[in-house]
Amino acid sequence: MTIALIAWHVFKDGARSRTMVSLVGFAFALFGVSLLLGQLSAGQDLKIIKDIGLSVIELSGVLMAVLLGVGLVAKEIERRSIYALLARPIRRADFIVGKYLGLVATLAMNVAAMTVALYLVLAYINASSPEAVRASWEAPALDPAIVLASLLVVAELAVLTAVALFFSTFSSSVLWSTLFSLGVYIAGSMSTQLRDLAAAVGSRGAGTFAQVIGVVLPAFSAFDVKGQVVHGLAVPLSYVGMTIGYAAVYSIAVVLAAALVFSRRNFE
Amino acid sequence: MTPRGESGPARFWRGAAGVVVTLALMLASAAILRARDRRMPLATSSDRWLYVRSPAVGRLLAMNYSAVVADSYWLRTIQHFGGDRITHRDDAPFALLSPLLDLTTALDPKFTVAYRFGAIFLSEPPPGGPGRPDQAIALLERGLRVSPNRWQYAQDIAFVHLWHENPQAAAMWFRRAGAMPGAPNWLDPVAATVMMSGGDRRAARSWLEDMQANASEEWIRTIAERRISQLTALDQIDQLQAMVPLFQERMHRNPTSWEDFQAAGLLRGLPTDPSGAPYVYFPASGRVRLQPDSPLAPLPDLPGSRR
Amino acid sequence: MTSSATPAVSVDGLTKDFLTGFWRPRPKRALDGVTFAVPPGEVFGLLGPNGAGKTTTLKLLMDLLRPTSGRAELFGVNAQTHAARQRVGFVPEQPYFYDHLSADELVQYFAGLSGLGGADRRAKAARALDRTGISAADRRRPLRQFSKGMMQRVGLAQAVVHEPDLIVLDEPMSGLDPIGRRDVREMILALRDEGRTILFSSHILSDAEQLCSRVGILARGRLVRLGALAELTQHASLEAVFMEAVQ
Repeated sequence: MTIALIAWHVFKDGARSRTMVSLVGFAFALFGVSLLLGQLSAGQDLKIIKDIGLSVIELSGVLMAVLLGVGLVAKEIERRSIYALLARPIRRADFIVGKYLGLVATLAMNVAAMTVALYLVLAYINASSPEAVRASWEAPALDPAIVLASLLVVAELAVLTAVALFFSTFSSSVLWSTLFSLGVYIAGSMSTQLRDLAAAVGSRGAGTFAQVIGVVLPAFSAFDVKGQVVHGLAVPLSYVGMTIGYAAVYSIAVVLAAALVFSRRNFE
Repeated sequence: MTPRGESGPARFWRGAAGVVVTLALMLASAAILRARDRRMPLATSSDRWLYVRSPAVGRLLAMNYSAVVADSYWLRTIQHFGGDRITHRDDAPFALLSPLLDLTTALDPKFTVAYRFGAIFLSEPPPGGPGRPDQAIALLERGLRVSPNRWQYAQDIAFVHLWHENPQAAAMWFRRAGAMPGAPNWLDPVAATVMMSGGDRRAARSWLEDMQANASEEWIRTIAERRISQLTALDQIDQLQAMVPLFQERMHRNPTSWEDFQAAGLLRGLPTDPSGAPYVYFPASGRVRLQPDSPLAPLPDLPGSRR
Repeated sequence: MTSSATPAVSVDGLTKDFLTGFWRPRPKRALDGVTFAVPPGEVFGLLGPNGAGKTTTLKLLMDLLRPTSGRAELFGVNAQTHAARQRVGFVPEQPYFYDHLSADELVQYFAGLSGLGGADRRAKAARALDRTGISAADRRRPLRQFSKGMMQRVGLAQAVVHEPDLIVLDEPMSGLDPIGRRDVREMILALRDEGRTILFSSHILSDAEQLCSRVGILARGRLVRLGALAELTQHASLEAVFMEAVQ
C-alpha cells in the first residue's frame, strides 16, 4: 500500500514536472522537423522519419529517466523534504520501490504518447504518398513492429531508471548522480563494442575484465531493434520477451542494491 | 529492510547477503541475454548501416570531438571486421571496412593503430578478410602523406607487397623505410634479403656492397659481407652447374667427381666457395651444392637459381 | 516523577559518532551516552546551544540516523523499526515539502502513508488543517507560494493528522514571528491537554519555560542537566542554570 501511494505520488509529480513536459514538447517538435526533412529527401522520407522518430523517443526517454530518476532521491535529500517523509511509518525499501515504479510508469506513459504521435505522423505520410511509392517501402508506414521497438525502449528505460535511482541513493549531489548515470548509459550502449575490443586485444586479463564489465554494466545496446524495424526485418516476440526478461531481472538487482544502500543511510 | 535493532555482525551479514543476491541476479540477467542471442540472433546487426560516408561530413559533424568520434569509428571497424570473420557472411563481407577506416583516419589523421591494423585487415585474403592489398597500401600511403617520417607505415607497405608476392616493390619500400629518420637499422638487411629473394642478384649485390662500405654498425657489415659471399657462391654454383652438360657432350657419359671435370679440361683445381669450403658434386643427381657445414650454408632460396 | 506506564520516549546510553574529513575520516562524537525518558502526557524540552546535539538526538529517535551505540525506544518499540513511528508525528526544523502540491494534497498524502484511507483520511486532513489555522482557500494553493510561517503550520498539520500519541518537534519556533510563535505554543498546549506527549528541541529558553514540565540540557553531546523545570529553577533562573550547565 505504501509502495502504491508513493508510486502514484511520483506519477502525478512526473506529469506536472517541467523537465518532462519540455522534453515531450521537444520530441513533438522534432517529429515536425523530421516531416520537413522527409520532404527534402526524395523517397527516403519514411525511413528517415522512422529513424528519427524512434531515436527521439529513445533519447528523450533516456534524458527523462536520468534527470527525473536522479531527482527521485537526491533532490529530496538536497531539499530536505525527505525528513518528514521518512518520519512516517514506512520502510525505507518501500520508499525506494515506490519511487522506482512511479517513475517507470511515468516514462511508459510518455513513451506511449510519443509513439502515438509518431504513428500520427506516419499516418499522414501514408495518406499523402502515392501507391507506387508505398509499394517501394521496405516496411509499411503504420508498422505494428514500431510498438515492439517502443516496448523495448520502455524496458531499456526501466533499467536506466534503476541505475539513476541507485546513484541517487548514495550520492547526495544531483550533479554527480546525473553524470554517473549518463556515463553508465554511454558505456552500456557500447558494451558490445567494448567486449569485441577486449577480444581483439587478446590478452586474458582484458578478456576477463570485459566479461565482468559485460555482466555488471547494463547492456543497453541489447534493446536496439530500430534497424530491424525500419528495414522491415523480423523481430520475434520471443526475442522481445527475453529482452524484457533481461530488463526485469537486471532492474530487480539494481533496485535491490539501491534499497540496501538507502536503508543504511544516515541523513545528517 | 530496516534492521530490527541489530548491530555489528548481524547487519554486516545482511548487507553481504544483499550484495550476493544482487550479483547473482545480474549474472542471471546476463545469462538470459546470452541465451537470447544464441537462440535468435536478429536478422542483421545495425553495424551494416553507415550514414556518414564522406570524411569531410564526418569531420564537420564531429566538431571538437573528432578524436573520440574517431575512436568510436575505430571500435566499429574492429567489430565489423571481427563480426564478419566470425559469421562468414556471403553477401558483401567486409563492405564497410574501407569506408570506416577512411572515416577513422580522416577524423584522426595521426591514428597510427588504425592505419597499421587497418592495412592488415584490408590485405587479409578471403575468407578471413576482403583481400584488398590495394586499399591497404592506399591507406598507409595516406598515413605517410600526413606523417612522412613514420617509417612503420613504409615498412607495413613493404610487408603488404611481400605477402602479395611483389618482392621488388617490397624491397624498395623496405629501403624507403630504412632511410627515414629514426628507423631501426635492421630494415636495410631485411630489404637486401628481400631483394635477393626477388632474384635480382645484381641489384642486391650492389646494394649490399654499398651497405658493407657505409654501414655504421659492425654487425650490419658482417651480415652484408656474408650475403655477398652467398651471392658469389650462387654465381659460382651456376657456373659449375653449367659444366655438367658440357662434360656430357664431350665425354658421352655422366661425370662422377671433380676429377672427371679436371680430366676433361673443364676445371683447374678443386672448386671452393668464398669461405674456402669445397663444393660438393652429387653424381646421382648431377647437382653442385655447398658443403653442408660451410659457414655460408644455408644459401637463400632464390627463384631462378638451381642449387 | 516515576510512572509505571511505558515511557513515550526512552533513550539509553545513546551515542553517535560522525566521520569527518575526507582523506582520513576520523570519528567525531556528536552524542555521548545520552540517557533520559519521557513519560506519556508530558511536555519535554531538549535544550542546548547550537551544535550541542539536539537535532542529532531527534533524528536518532526518528531513525533518520543510526546510533553508534545505545538504544532508543518509542512506546517501548525499538526506534529503528518503521512500526515505532506509527504513533509518532515529526516536525523537522524549517520543514520543506513538495512545491507543486497543495497543503491539502500534502497532508492527505502523508496521512495515507500513515495508513489512513478514504473518507477518514479526508476528514482528518481537514481537521488537522483547521487546527493549524490554514484557511480553506490557502489549503488549495501550491506550497511554493507559502511563507515560512505557513510552511511551519503545514509541518504541524502533517505531524498531527494521524492523531499520534507523541509529537516530536525540532526547533518549532525558529524563524517565526511572534504571532506564529504564539500559535505554535497554543497548539502544543492544546495537544498536551488532549493527553499527547510532546518532545521538542529549542535554544530559546522562554519557550521552554512556558511549555515544559521537564527539560534536559545538552552541551557538547552530553546531557548535563535533566529534571523537572520547577526543581531545576528552584534557586536560579533557567537562564542562569543553562549558562552554568553549558560552560
